[in-house]
Amino acid sequence: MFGVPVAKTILVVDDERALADTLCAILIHAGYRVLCVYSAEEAIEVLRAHRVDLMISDVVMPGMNGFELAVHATQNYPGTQILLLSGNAATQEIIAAPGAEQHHFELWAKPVLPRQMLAHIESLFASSSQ
Amino acid sequence: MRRITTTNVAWQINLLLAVALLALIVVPTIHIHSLVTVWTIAGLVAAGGIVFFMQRLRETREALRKLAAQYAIAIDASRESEARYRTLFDSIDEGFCIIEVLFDENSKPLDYRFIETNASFEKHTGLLNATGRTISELAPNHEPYWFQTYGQIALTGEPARFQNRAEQLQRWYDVYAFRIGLPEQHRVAVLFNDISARLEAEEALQESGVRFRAIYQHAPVGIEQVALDGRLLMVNATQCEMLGYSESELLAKTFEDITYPEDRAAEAVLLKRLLRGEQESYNLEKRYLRKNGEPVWVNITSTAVRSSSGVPQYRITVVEDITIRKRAERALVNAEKLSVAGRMASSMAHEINNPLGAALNLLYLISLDGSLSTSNSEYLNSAQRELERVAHLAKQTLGFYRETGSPTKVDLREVADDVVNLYMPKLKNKDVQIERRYWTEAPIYGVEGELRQILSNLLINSIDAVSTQGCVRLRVSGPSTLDGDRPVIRLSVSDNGSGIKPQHLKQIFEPFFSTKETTGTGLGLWVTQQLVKKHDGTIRVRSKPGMGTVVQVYLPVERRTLERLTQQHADEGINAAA
Repeated sequence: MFGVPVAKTILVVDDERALADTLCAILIHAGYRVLCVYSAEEAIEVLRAHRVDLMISDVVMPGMNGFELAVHATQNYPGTQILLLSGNAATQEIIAAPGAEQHHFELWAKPVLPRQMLAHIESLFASSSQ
Repeated sequence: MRRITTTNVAWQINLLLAVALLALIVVPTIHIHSLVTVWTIAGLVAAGGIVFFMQRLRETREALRKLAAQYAIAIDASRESEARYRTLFDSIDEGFCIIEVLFDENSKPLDYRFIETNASFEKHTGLLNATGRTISELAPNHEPYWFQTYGQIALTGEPARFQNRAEQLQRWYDVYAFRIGLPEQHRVAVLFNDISARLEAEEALQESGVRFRAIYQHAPVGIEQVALDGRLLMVNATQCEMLGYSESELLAKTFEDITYPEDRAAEAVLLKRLLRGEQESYNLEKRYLRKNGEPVWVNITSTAVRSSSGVPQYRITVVEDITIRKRAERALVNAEKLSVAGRMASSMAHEINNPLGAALNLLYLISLDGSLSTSNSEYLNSAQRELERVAHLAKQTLGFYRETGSPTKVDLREVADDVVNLYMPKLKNKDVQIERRYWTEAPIYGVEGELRQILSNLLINSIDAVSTQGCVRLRVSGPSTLDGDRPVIRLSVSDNGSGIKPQHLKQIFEPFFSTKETTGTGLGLWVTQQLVKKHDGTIRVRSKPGMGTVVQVYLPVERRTLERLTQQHADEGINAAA
C-alpha cells in the first residue's frame, strides 16, 4: 500500500479453518502481510521463523490453547502484540491456567465484525508506532 | 337460767330448832314441887314439838332433795354448754379471739388486749400465748388502722368485714369482727383468716396471666382462636400486623374470608377430618390475604380444643409467615433456571459464533469485489446487515445469561445502548421517556455480561418506579477521579419515580428485600451490588419519596481490575473444580 513502507505482519491462529481462512483473506485485502495456521503448535514454529507484529488467536483449540500460546509469545517475542478471540464457551478454564493472572491480553468475544476488527487493528498499530 | 330459792325451807327449820331448844332449857328451871306436873306438861310439849319437828324435817329433807336434783341438772347443763362452746371455739379453722379495746381518756383507741383465743389463733397469727397480753407487747409496730377499726366496733356495735395486711406479722387477713358482751366492756370478737397464701396464689395467677398475654401478643407467630363456624374469636397482635387488619376488623371475619380463594378447598378437607376427631391437629402451607389484597404465604398448625366429653369447642391456629422462605425458594428456582439457561447459552454461543463469524467474513470478502452488479451488491448488503443483527443478538442474548464471563475491554456506551434496546418495548409500552447522554470514550475492563446485568437491573428498577410518561435518564461519563483516588467511569441511572422510603434505604441491598411484593425477587440490587464490588467499583443511591431516585455506579478504568478479575475467575474455577 502506498504510504506504508513495510507492511505489518499478522499471524492468524484458529482451528476453525473457515474462520481462519476468511479472516486471513480480509487482512490480506487490507494490505497486511498475513500468516495463517490452524493450531498453537504451528504458530510457535511461525513465531520462531518470522517477525510478527500482531498475533490474532482463538482461545479454545485442541492441544495447546490460545492462552498458553499468548503467554509463550509475550515471554519470547515482546514486540508481538496479541489479540485473543473467544467463542466464550470454555474461556474460564483457560483463563484459570497457572500464571494467567500475570498477563493481560486483549480478549474479544466472537463473532467479530470484519469492519470493527480492521478498525481496531489499525488503531493498535497506530498507537504502537507512536 | 332457773333461780332456785331456799329461804322458806331454811326459816321453817330454824323455827323448829328454836322451839326444841327453848323446851330443853326452860323446863329444868321450874319449881321442884310442881315437878311432876311440870315434867308432864314439858314432856307433852316436848313430845309435840319433836313430832312437829320430825314432820317438818321430813318435808325439808324432801324439798332439799328436790332442790339438789334441780341444781345438779343446772350444773350439768352449764358444763355441757361450756364444753360444747369450747369444742366449737377450738375446732374451727378460722382464727378467733375476743379482745378488749383499750382507749385513752379521749376515747381514742390505742391498743387491745387478748381476752380469749382459740386453737387456730396461733396458726393464723404466729403469736404465742397471746391471752392476757396486748397486741402492742406482741407486735409493737402493729398498724393504728387495726385499733381504729376495732375501736369503732367496740363503740358503735356495728360489725365489720374487711381485708387488710398486718405488716409486722407479714400476713394478709380476711376479718369479721363484732361487739360482744356489755358495751362498757369494749369487747370485740374477731373471726379471721390468714389469706396471704391465697392472695399470693391469686397474684401468681394474675402474673402468669400477664406473662401469657405478653407471650401471646408478641409471639413471632400469629395466633388465632377460631370458632367451629369459622369466626375468629381471638387474634394476637402479630397476626393483625401480618395481615394489615386491626383486631376488631379481623374479629368480624372468618378464617375463610382471609384465606386465598384457591387454598380454601385444601383446608376444608383437613378441617373436616380434625372436627371428626380423626386427627388432633393439622399442618398446612397456604396463602392468607392481606387487607390490601396481597397474598401472604403462611405455614399453619391448627389444633382442636375439646370438652371433657371429646366434643370440639374451638380451634387454636398458630400462623407462621413464610413469605421470605417462599420468595427464597422461588429465587432459587429462578437461579437454577438461569444457570441452566446460562450453561446452554454458553455452549450454544460457541457452536453458533464460529460459523457466524466465518459467514460474516465471507460476505465481507464478497463485498470487496468491485465487479458486483448493483442489485447483487444490494442483496449482499442486506445479507450482511441481517447477519450482523444475528451476531448482535447472539452476543446479547447468548452472552447475557452467561454466569461467568471473561473480563474484556468493554465500552459502557455500547452496553448501555444494548440494554436500552432490550427494554425498548417495555419503555414504549409504559410511555416512559429515556434520555441517554454519554460523555466518555474510555473503555473499562470488566465482564461484559455482568456489566450488562448491572445496567439492566438499574434500568428495570427505574422503569418500575416511574409512572406512565415518567422519565429515565442514563448517563455515562468520565474518567474522573472519585475522592481524589483512581480514575473511574461514572454510570448514572436516575428517574422521577416514586422514590425509596428513608426506612427502606438501608435495606435495599439486602438479599430478598423487595417492595415489589409479588413480582420482585428481592435479589436485583443485591446482585447489582455484588457485581459492582466484583468490578472493584462502588454504588451510591440517593432518593426522595415522590421525587425520584439516582443510582450512581463508579467503575475503575485501570487495568488492575482485569488482574483482579482474572484472579477471581481462577479462584472460582478452582472452587468449581473442587
